[in-house]
Amino acid sequence: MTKQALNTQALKTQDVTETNSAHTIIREGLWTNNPALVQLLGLCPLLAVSNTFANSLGLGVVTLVVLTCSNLLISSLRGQLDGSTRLPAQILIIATFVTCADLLLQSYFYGLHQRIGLFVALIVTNCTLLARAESYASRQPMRHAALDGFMMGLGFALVLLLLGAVREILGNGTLFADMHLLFGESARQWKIDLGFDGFLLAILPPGAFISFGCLIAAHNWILQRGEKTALTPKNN
Amino acid sequence: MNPRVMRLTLLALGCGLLINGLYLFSAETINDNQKAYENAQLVAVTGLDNVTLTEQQAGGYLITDDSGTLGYISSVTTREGYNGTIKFWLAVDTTGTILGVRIYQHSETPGLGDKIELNVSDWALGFIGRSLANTPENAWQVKRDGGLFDQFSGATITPRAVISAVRKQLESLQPELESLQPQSPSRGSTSFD
Repeated sequence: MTKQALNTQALKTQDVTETNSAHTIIREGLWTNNPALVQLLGLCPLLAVSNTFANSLGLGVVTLVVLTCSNLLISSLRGQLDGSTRLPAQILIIATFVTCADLLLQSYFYGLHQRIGLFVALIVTNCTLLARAESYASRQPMRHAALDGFMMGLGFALVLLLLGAVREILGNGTLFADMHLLFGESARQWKIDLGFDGFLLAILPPGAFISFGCLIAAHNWILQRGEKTALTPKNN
Repeated sequence: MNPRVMRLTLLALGCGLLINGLYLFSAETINDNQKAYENAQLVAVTGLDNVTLTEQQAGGYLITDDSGTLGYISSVTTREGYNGTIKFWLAVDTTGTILGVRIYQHSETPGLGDKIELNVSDWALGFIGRSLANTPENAWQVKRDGGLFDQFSGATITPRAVISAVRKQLESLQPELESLQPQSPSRGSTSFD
């Protein structure tokens, strides 16, 4: 099912159709229509923040929460907001949740905020949020919109985490460093030292692009293999 | 009024109230966090163990230990950075030699200008041991401008701002340092290498 086909279907009807089943929403968000790997949205924070696992986890969780909340509110207001006021209203709602998340982060995770603060503010411009608001939440019932937001957010966060873990291992030779920024002082010992110095390129921006490219390639390869086995039922 | 515009206005009002409420609720905690961070940087800036910091009326801190006065920490603010003000602690010993520089507040670009921060890169350690006596005025610049200090690729404005603020602060500290060190008559003719 292509994204276009999904959108047309969503435009035609507000009914709960087959594409809305929880199973489909989950599979789309996490795998077949993953916001980072397939839609290639929100790459600025994705590539900039994914230099350590802790930073990735922080930004991933904030994005997930904001995306779920904004989808939920936009869906609940979908009868009131239409035509020319719909887009400004969506951006306003997204910006409000991001600002709230930013304030809460400064209150409870100050150390983490110092690392990823600028990128938290940039979640407003993460196209994943507006894309989900406009193409899904503004046309679907609340529970579907909330599930879609959660699953798309989770899909984004998982890619961010995978990228963060890979880059931290290759670039620093460690894993789970600085987790105390998220989980308090006791989490300092979670750091695993892999016993090598690391390869500087992996933490620098080019390393982000190279690792991300490999991830997309792996995703495509698995998807294509899946299609081939589906075509030849003998193989399964 | 057009009902659509009306609804959008109401929504904007609601969002504004929500943010304002949360801000009022969290402002104090955020301020405390900021103060705690400033303080942690202040304690770490000298790089010395077992010293006492005493706040002075002028705003700086006197560094002392059992043997007497060791130096002085001042808070420096510069507006020449790329984005907003940069604030840092500058610790010097009684001869005017830098003990340490620690940035405690800035909004420089992450990944570029934020390398002035010690938890991002070691750049700020390059100031240690420098003084007006051992570093000529034209060396207080980034390497690209013919000075001694590293610049960052893509961000020279930020290090320029910090370097020039450090030098200016050292100059304005001269009279205070002289008053801290009355027992040293040969000051000015000594070279520190």
